[in-house]
Order: sequence, then C-alpha cells, then structure tokens
Amino acid sequence: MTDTTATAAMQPTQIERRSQSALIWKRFKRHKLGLIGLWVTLFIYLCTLFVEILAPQGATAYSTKHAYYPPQRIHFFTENGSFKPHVLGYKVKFDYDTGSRSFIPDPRKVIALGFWVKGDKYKWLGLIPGDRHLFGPIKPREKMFLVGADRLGRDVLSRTIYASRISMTIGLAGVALSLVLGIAIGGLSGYMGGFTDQIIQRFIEFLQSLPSIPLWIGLAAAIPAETPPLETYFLISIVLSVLGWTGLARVVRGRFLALKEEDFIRAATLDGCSTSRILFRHMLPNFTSHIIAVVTLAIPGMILAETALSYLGIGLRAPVVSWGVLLQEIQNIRSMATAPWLFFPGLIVVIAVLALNFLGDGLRDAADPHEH
Amino acid sequence: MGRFILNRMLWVIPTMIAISIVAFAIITLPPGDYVDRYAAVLAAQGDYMDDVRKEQMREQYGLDRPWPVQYVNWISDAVLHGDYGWSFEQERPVSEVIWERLSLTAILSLSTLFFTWIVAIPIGIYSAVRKYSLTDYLFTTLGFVGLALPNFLLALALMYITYLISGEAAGGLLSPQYLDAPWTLGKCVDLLKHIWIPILVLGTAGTASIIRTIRANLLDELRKPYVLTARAKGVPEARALMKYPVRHAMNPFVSGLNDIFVNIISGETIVAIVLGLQTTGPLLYQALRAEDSFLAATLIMFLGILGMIGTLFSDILLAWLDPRIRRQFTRLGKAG
Amino acid sequence: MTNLSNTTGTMPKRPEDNGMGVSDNLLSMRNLTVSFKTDDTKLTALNKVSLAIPEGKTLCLVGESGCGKSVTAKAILRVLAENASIDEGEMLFRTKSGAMTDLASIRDRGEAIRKLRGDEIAMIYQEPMTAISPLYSIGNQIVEALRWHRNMSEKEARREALEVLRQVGMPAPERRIDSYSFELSGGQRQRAMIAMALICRPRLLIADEPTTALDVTTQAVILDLLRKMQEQDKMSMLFITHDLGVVAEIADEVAVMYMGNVVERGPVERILTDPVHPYTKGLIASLPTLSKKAGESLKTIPGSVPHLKDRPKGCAFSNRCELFIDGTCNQLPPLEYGIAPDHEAYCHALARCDASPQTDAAITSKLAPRKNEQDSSRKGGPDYNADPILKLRHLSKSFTQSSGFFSKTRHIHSLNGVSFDLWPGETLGLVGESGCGKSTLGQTVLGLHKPTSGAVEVQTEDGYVDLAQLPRKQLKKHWHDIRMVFQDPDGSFNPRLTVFDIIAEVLRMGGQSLTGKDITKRVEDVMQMVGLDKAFLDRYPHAFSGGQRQRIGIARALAPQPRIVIADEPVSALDVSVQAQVLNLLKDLQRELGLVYLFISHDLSVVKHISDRVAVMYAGQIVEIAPADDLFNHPKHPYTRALMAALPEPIPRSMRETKPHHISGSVPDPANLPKGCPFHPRCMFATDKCKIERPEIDATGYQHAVSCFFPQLSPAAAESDIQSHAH
Repeated sequence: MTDTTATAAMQPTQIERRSQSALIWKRFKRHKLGLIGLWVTLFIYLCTLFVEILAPQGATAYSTKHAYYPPQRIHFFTENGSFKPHVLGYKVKFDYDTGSRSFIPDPRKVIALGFWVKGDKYKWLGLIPGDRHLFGPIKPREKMFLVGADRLGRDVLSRTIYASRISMTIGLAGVALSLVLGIAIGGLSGYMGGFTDQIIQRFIEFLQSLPSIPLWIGLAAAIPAETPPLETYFLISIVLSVLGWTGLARVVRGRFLALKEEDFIRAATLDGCSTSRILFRHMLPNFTSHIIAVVTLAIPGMILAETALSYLGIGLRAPVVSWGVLLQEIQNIRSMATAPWLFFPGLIVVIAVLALNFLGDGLRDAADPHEH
Repeated sequence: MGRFILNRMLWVIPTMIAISIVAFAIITLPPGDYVDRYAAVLAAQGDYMDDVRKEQMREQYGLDRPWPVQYVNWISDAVLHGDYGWSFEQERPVSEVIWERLSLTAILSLSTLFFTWIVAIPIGIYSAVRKYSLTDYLFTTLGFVGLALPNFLLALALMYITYLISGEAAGGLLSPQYLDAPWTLGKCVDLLKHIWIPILVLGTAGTASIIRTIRANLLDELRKPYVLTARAKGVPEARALMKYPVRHAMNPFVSGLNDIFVNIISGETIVAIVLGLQTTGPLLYQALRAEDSFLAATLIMFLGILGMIGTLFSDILLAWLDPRIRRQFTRLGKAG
Repeated sequence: MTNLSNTTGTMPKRPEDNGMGVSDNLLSMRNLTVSFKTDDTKLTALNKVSLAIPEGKTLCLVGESGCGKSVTAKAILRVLAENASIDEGEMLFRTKSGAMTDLASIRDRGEAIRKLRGDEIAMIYQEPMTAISPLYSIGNQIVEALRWHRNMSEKEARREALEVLRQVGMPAPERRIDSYSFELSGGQRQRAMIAMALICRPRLLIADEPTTALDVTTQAVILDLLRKMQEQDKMSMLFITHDLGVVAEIADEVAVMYMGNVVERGPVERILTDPVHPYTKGLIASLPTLSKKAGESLKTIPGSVPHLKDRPKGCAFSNRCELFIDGTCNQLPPLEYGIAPDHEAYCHALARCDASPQTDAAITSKLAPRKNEQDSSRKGGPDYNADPILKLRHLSKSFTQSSGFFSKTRHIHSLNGVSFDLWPGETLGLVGESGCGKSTLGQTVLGLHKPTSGAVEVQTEDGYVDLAQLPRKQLKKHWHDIRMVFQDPDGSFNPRLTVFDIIAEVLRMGGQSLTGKDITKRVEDVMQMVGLDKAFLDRYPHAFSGGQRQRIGIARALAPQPRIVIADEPVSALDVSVQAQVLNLLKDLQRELGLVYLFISHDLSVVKHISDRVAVMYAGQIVEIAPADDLFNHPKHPYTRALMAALPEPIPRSMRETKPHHISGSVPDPANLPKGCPFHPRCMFATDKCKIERPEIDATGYQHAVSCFFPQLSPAAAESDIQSHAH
C-alpha cells in the first residue's frame, strides 16, 4: 500500500476484545441490585427442581394434633452444653374460658435434627422414588415445624417450598405463551407496517385499556371446578397470557421498527442476506437482550396474578399447592390472629417478585444504557 | 384542541362496542348456563327440574338463542331502554343492582388516583433531583417493595395490623346502615372513615410505579439541552426545574396515567373482595361464580368503560399539556 | 502558565496582555482546569487553559471532537455537568459596573452567576431543536430572560421580543412569536435561539457550534447575522467551531485546542495563513478546500484524537506529532513559544529549533505537503471514450406517508427524473443540501427502494441490464458489483458480529462460491488494503475509532471486488484530520483497483477534492452537472453559485474579496414542491417563466449541463439577459 495508508494504519495498542454480550454483562455487573436479583432468582428456580428433597415433609402430610402449631426455633446446644441441633415440641394448654389454645415449649420434648434424614416418601420430579430429606428430624416419626403449621397440621415451610414449583413456573409458562404471541403479532405489526400495523396497534391499545383482573376472573371462572390440576395449570397460564402478550408485542414491534432503519440492516441486505438470515442473524441477536429484560419484568406480574386468582379460589385449587392456594388459609381475621405465620408464603412471593424485578431492571439498563 | 377531542371521541363508540362484546363473550365461555346451575342447586335440595321446565326458563330469559343474538338483544335493550337484563341471583333487574356499586367503585378509584398523585409526584421529583441521596434510596426501595406486594396480601396485612391495634376487624366501605341509602352528609362521613384502608392498599402499587416513572423521566430530562438553555438565561434553578424538565417529565407520566387508572380499577376488584367493600368487585365475583350472566356482563362492561374514560381523560390531558399533539391536529385540519 | 519555565527568547505574557493591554479584555481565563469524575477515574477535560476575550471582538475556539471546546463554554457560564469540577484557575469577567468578578470562584448555583447569565453573558448552541423546549412558544422563552433580569411588564417584554425577532431577521415575527420550535425551519429555530440570547443585550455571547447542524446556505446567513449583531451591539463573542472555514468568516482571534489544552493562539490572519504548531498546521493541511488543487493527496495527521483517559504523558499531541522528540515531548508539559507579541504556541520542538535555527529547515520540509508522485500517472483515470458503466434514466421515487387513520396521506417526491451516466475510472460527486434526495438516489440505484419510474442500467457482459426491473433475487448478484459505504460508522455494523464476520458476510452469501479458506484470504487482503492489521479481525466494531470503523466499512464494500462503490457521506461523521486519511485512502484504492465512485456529500470542498465530475442536486433533481474544474470555475446554475458563495473557506475575511449575496429561504418540502423550477422561490433571477415551466436538463454524457432557463456566467450578465428576455 502507499504510505498514506501506512501512516494511517495506526497500531491501536489496546483494541478491546470483548463482545457485545460481554459488554452487556459488564454493565449488568455494575448494577448491584440486579446481581442480587439474579442470584436470588437462580436460587429460587434451583429450589423448584429439588422441592421434594428440600422440604422436610411431604406436601400433603398432615397431622391434626399439630393444627396451628406455631413456629419452632432451632436450638444448637442441649441444656448441658453439648452440640446437638434440635427443636422443642410444644405443650398444649386449653383455656376453657376463651376456647383458645396456647403452646408452651416443652424442654422434655427434644426433637433432634440432622441432615439427609429419612422422612416422608416421595417421587423426585414424579420419577425417582426416595425418602431422604436434606434437613429434618432424625427420627422419621417426629415432626418439625420451622414456620408453623396450618389448620390441618401441615408444615407451612414444606408446602411453601412445594408451592414454589407451581407458582414460579406458571409465570414462566404464561410468559412463554405471551412471548410467542408477542413476537408473532409484534413482529407481524412491525414487518407489515401500514394498515395491518395500525389495526394491530389499535387492538393492543384496546386490550391494554381493559381492566385485567375482572377479565381474568371472568376467564378463570370459565374453567370448570372439576378440571384436572394439570389442565387447570395450563388453562390458567393461557388466561394470563391472553392479556399479557400486549406489552411484549409492543416492545418487539418497537425494536423491529428501529432496527429496520439501521444502516447495518441495509448493509446486510446489500450483502445478499435472505430475509430469514437478516431476521435471525442480524435482527434477533440485537434485540434478545431487550426481550430477555422485558420477559423478566413480565414474570412477576404473572406470579402475582396467579397468586391472586388462586387466593380467590378461581385459579389453581387444592390439592395443587401454589402460593396463592396456601394463602387461601388466611380467609378471615380469626385465622390471621391465630396463626400469623400463614403469611409466610406471602413473604416468599414478595421476595421472588422483588428478585425478578431487580433482575429485570438490571438487565434492561444493561441492554439499553441510554434508555429507561 | 376541539378537533383533537372530536377526533378522539370518534374512537369512543367503536371502543365501547368492542368492550361490550368482550364482556358478553367472556360470560358465555363457561360450559352450561345459569339454568343448569339453578337445576343443580334445586337437585341438591332434593327438588328435580325436568328438561321442559329448563327449556321454559331458558326461553323466558332468552338463553336458548345463539349468543350473538343474545348479545344484540341485550345491548339494544341496554342502549335504548337502559335495561341491562335480569339478575337471576338477586332476582332484580341488573340496573337496580349496579349503580350504587359502580359509583362507589368510581369514587374509590378516583380518590386512589388522586392519592397516588399527591404522594408520588413530589417524591418522584425529589428523588430525581437528589438522586443517590439517602432519601432517594429509601423511596426507591419502598417503591420496589410496593410493586412487589400483591394487593390482596397488603389488604390482609393491613386488616391484621388494624386488628392488632384496635382489636376490631376493619372492612367494608360503608357501615351497613348506609348501604343503598341516599347520599347524606352522614353517609359521606362514614365513607371517609372507611375509605383510607382501600386507598392505601390500592394506591401503593400505583404510587410506587409513578415514583419510578417520574424519577426516571426527570433524570432523562435533566440532561436535555433546554435545561441548560434555561439556566444559561439566568432563570433561577428551582424555577427552571419546574418550568422545563418537570413539565417535560409529566408527558410520559400523563400518557401512562390510563395504565395506572386501569390497574386501580383492576386491583379494586380483588381488594374489594378481600376487604368486603360494597363495590363492584364482590358482586362481579359472585355473579361469575353463579353464572349470573347479565349481571356479570354488565359489570365487566362498565368497568371497561370506566377504564376507557380514564384513557380518554389522559389523552385529552396530554394534548392539553403538549402543543405538539395539539398542533398536529390543527395543521391536519387546515390541510384536510 | 506562569509556572511553566520559559526557555525561549520571547517575553512571557499573560493572555490578557495580547498586545493590547489589560483593560481591553472582557474575560480573562487563566490556568483553568476542569475534570470529570467517572465511575472508575477522574478525567481532565481542560488542562490549564488560558484565554482572553477582547472587548467587542470574536475569539474562536477551534479543535476536533473531545478537545474541550464546549467544556470551556459551559465553564464560563458555570453550567457544567454535575460530575464536573473546576480544580484550578480563574476567570475574570468585567461586569457592566466595571468590577472584576472571578467566575471560577463563585457558587455555580448562586445568585451572583445567575444574575450574569442571560443578562451579561448569553449562550447559543448547535441543536436549536433540542435547546428550545417544544412545550412553550418561542415568545414565551424569549421574554423569560427579561422577566428575571429586568422589571418589565408583559406587554413591554413582548414588544421587546418582537423587536429582537425582527432584528435577527425572523420572517413574520408577529406570527412566529407564538409558534413552537417544531413549527419552524432549522434556520428559523436558530434565529429564535439567537433572539433568546440577545434579548437582554449581553456583553458576551458564547456560541457553541451554532451553525454545525445547518445547511451551508443557511449557515452563511446565520454567520452574517451573528457578525452584524456583534458589530451593532459592540458585543464580545466566544465562538466555538470545528470548521476552519467558519473561523475565517467570524473570528478576530483564534485559539486552537487539543485534548483540553490550548496549543496555539493568535489573530485569525496569522493562525490561518502562518500557523506554527504542528497540530494547527496539520489541521489546515488536511482540509480539502475549493482553492486547493483537486486531486492532490491531502496531508494528514496520523492517528486520531485519543480518549481523554488515554492522554499521552507530556505534550498531549506528542503521539501524533511529526516533530516528536523522544524523552522531551512525552515527558514534560509543552513549553510556551512566542512568535509575535500576539501569537504564541506550546511546543517543545518549536521552542528548541528557535534556539537552534539550523534545524528550522528540517522542520519546514517535514511539514511540507506530501508529494504524490503517482498523481500525474493515475492508472486509468476516467475513460470517456468507453461506454458508460452505469446509466440512470429519468429515475423517480416518491414515498407515501400516512400517520393514522384520519390523517391525509402525503406523497413525498424524493427523486424527480434523475438521469446521468457513470464512466469507467471516474468519481462522480453528488452534492446537495439535506433533503435534496441524494441519499435516496444512492439507495434507489442499488434497488433498496423500488423506483416509481425510470431505469438504472448497469453494464454487464450481456449488455445493459435495468436493475429497476429486476426482482430481488436477480438484483442480489449485481450487489457484488455495486457496493455501498455508509455515512455513520457507528450504525452500519452489526454490533454482535466480529470484524471478520462483518466483512465476510457478503462473501458467505455466495454468488462467488468461495471456500472458507478463500474467504479468510480475501478478508485479510481487504483489511490490508484499507490499512488495518488483520490481527483485529476477531474484534468487535465498538472497539475501533470512527476513522478505523470507516476503513472497515470500506473493506466490507471492497470484499466482493466490486466495480462501482456508492459512498454516502463517508467522511461527514469524522474529524477533519481523520477525514483526510479516509479521502486519501479512497483515492489510493481507486487508483489501484480502477474503481468507479458515486460520491455523495453535502460538502462542496470534499466533493471538489475527490471528484472528476460533479452533479448538484436540488429538490430531487440534478440542476447542474459538469467536469469538476468546469463546474467550480464556471458555475452556471444560480443554486450552484449560491452553494459556492455560502461555503466558508479558511481564508481570513480581510485577505479576500467579500462573498456575494447569500440566498434566503430553505429547501422546499418534498411533499409540496413549488410549481415550475423548484428553485424559483429562492432565486434572485426568477421570472414568470420560472414559476410556470420546469426547466429541462440533459444530464447524460459528460459535458456541462444545467437545468435553468437563464444559465449564468455572472450575475451582471444574468440581469441583462433577463431584461432582454422580458422585452
């Protein structure tokens, strides 16, 4: 080459090697709350895989004599100071005047705890049988209630763990369905443009102007009570996505329209790329990060909706255990006053939703540092 | 401006028709109808209803016809005579049942909306201007938690807390003696006594989201060149802040207003059921469970219309605030 | 400054001296240092900057992006970003009362500075679209400053605003005062912005690139206006620009900045004609101008402006400097070197050769423009005896635009019957202002837009093929033959692909059935051709500087060995020094590969520099086309003449004849073109005929053609022509 280019051929000492995804990850890592959200979310989803093992008791194990058993505290040392993790059973006292029961820890009822103990039998993921639990009373016939028991003496902690599987995944299922609808309709809207786009946009605006919960209640009420649990699960996720796709469709359309005008898409066309190659190699990778962020932000809404519907008794129903179903136990002041620990699944809902919101926020900021 | 409103109003009629169709379609979704359910109830009491009687009953309420016909009959009666059909459960015309409930819903939703504004706008502005301050972190955290709390859980928690404090069960929007009574001063006072818990419950999520929107918008706007222009002109800082960035940040907030209003209406349904408010929520819930179809359809339709009015209101407000939208229509008006 | 030792024979001076005595300066800035806190580090944006703005004169700050021009402006008004801080230095401003205020030491949100802002010191910026709020009428925003600085009734204030709008030449001020920014044209918006700044009759106007976003004809009018207002109000002005042509138009004094340092300072005549600092010299040498001989390679400054965080040690320019002295320039801050009482530079090398004159000759030869031996013996060159390689015939394109159900559809006529030929070996420059359809033309030639009518005939082995008639599938194979280079080096690369994948994409898409090895070889070859190391092939585009990215863009275009390259504003997003590198590269490549360029640009001097022939576009038509020399020496169309007159040249005003009349008005709305000649509303020679009939042009062939009923050689001849026509 001539010396023009030779002099201009700067030797950049440090040309950064990192890819776009690496840069997004770098930006994400700066978002502390997002990172916390990521770890908590991962932890919860990991738990949903191992609920049978993590839960000290079975989901349906009940014991009427433990009805409304209050939470027990873990003691690590015995009275004589030796190390022996245990909980104490309660002595039940009946107050005949008020008709209420009171529970007093009984130092003689020592329930020793250990790891990897035998307990209720289960089939892990419905496939592999087992009876070992990560943590629990060493003697299989003894019971431990770390956050108390409900009116049938079922362990709230175990049921909350079991419920996470349904509640966390129904959000995913609903979002997955919404995503399919959203990408299809939003993509169509953005790709066709013109009149089709106008019609679809008006339709989305219309759907978004409808109050969702009355419609959800209406749709959910249409599911007959005798429908089998698995079917109900899918029907509910369909109900959630019927209204949930609109937001995703808007994002997809917006990104699509913006990308369509980018010079690099023009360049790809001129390179001779086919429509599908432009879509999948040049467009899609450039909005996956946005979609992931929007999807993450959509899951909590679905979880909250499922919880609410189930609480009202028109979503999932017992014997299915979801957080909403568990919260049904608090129907009135009496049950709250007797057993405030029944709020525990609610606390977990809040934590899960918070984690997902933090994660989604962090992802969105990382994917799009200039927009909010 | 007039042209804009006119243009916007043109959308109202098709939207209302669409809402009524959606409402009616939903209540026809469940298998069977009220007659089946009624028969089942009778059967449980040991009374047997034969097919002839069922058909007679269906004919009486028009339930034997295909649903589009039912819909047309229902909507034309509704529009022409204000007759929304018969409530099987309540054994009264629907129109007699709904108005008190609807007006309470509207009052509650609107008060909640104003409550969220009054609380959220100043906090949002403060958070943006003093970003990364302790107060900002506090409100941001509260905002996140507010968004993560399910309405009904918050309602339950507040009920529990008031119970712990006062030993009484809170609930309802009116004391029983004022239900279906004419609006007197006493009734208003009674309403005010009860309304704060539902407002707090309903307003939390909206407040949290408004704080977040305003804060984010304002942070964006503060970087815009016209803020610099204003400061370079010697406009005092506080005044420049209010006149330019805050005003600009209001636009996305106003256009997102309908979402918040619709969410309030939406959340009201569930909170009302939990707190036992005498609004549309429990009525709708009951009607849907009992397949009291005309009542349910009417309620869903009116909630939809309430949401639509919110959207209309926010659109007009936006046009009033933003000359770009206003002028777009005047110019088109001149051109056309 | 004061703490810098002075080894030269000249007297140490304080900036406010400037040979005129202290009392003449309205503002004296000394050793101003401003830094920004970022996430990881602290960046120095201004490094001991010393400046003086004389009373009633204009000081121009000139430099490339990131040199700290805008930071200086904002520092004076104390409206710096929140993460910025003034670490050192003073800014003495003489207020109306005669008292000296140090702007650097007062509180930036306090009353003292607020009272000065908008009243005594005002500011205008580059983007009037975003600098004026669209939510309030411009009248409202103009009177605002009055409200806070004068005790004035609303009525009086409005009268005052109307008066200032009239002075800045706003058409129909009574109506415009109640308009919103989005209802005004670019030039009108800038007038509104100026009115806003001048309403309180400030003593210092800070203008931060006020004409950069404007078309060249509008820029000329706004520069005239600013100069007029300055003379009328006896105002001082701090004018910031990257454009040396604009400097020549407006400046009295010039300060050249580089990475937050002032490198040279002096009167405009000296800086433009006799610069001493290697950076200033480089900037001026790398600028293509109308007066420079076309075809000559431009001298370039190697490399590009580093990011602030990579500021070289010692002299910031040391890593790009031809006079670099190892061990000195990269170690110690540069020394002050005085050339004349009012002209000084900061440079070790200059200071040293002043001490030892014998090296002076060496330096001069180093800085002389690079001779290009190949200039005269260009391989090929345009071959007008051959058949044209590309023929455009009556190409038209209109777009329909509808914004909703109830709004009317608009037809935007972007191209209206464009014809021309392109010959082997030539560069056809296509020049015009924004919205004239030049970019649409480039894209329509390639078939990215389906033309409404007309033909794009490209020469192939089987004779001419009309691309306009081909379906997508068959178009594709011609896309290997005709390639495109895009304007924005940021947006034209898929950020997810490596440089290798970006360049290889076209080869992978087939047509040429290459193996993986062939592709790798070819990609490495084009990388070398554009002067980039093949080691960078696995990097992502975001890691490169603007100039490097444009090289990658050129490499991508060349990968399939095309015959024709359409370059759409390939250098307009680049800094001057980098622009010259890319222009030279394009010329070298043309010579080596025998390429044909369709070079689209808004910049007349760039077009003149690179083109063999030039076509001028206006409102979707070619109004004049001619061989470059012919066009620039004998322009015939009034629009071409206006463009040339409006183009600022880096020759000080005092050293050249004043430019003729500037045209008013703006480019017509392509949805609503005027009847007859589209230029007639802005044409000083327009007759009734021009208002009714559209002049024809036969732009095919390579001779000079013009679309005008009264093609002119001189305005005088034109007038007599019109008169004879009228009688």
